[in-house]
Amino acid sequence: MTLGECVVLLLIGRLAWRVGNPPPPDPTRFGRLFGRFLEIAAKLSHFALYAPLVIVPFVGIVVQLKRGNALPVLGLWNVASPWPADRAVARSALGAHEFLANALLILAGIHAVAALVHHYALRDRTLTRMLPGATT
Amino acid sequence: MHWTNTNARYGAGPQVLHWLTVVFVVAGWLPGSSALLPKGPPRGRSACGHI
Repeated sequence: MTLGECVVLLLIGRLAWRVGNPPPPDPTRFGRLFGRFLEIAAKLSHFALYAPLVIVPFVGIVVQLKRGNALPVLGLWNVASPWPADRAVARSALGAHEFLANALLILAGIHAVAALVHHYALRDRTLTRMLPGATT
Repeated sequence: MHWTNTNARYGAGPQVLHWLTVVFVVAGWLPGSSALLPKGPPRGRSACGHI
């Protein structure tokens, strides 16, 4: 199994879990002050993280198929490309794949810094409620 | 420790999925960024783990 496949499977698992068992409500004092505004900001930031997690693997699959290569699936099957090889489109898609992957890493870094700000500056439970073993 | 989310915190299930996603996204990005490597066996090996 490849790293890309692992990310896709984890993403499906996370989205399914989110639908079946919604995340806990915002625990911040800051959240209570700014109420609805912060709730919307939190939803937008989560969407900003989930969107590239969906799009990056999808564009990566397009790159592989547009190169005319088969797509390996879980090490069990190879899905033949339905399209004739088109190196120019593959190169453009690869550029988009790389750009979005870099954007995802930057957004994840901002997400991590925001969690640390919540923990050390705002002193709320936003970070600890996602840490294994942490008592809140 | 609950596997599911409660009103106070994320459950163990979502925590495991979250941190595994972090690991695999970073681990996937590293060989992906090796497209900057010159063509040859190291780049080929890197791509095999990435796709």
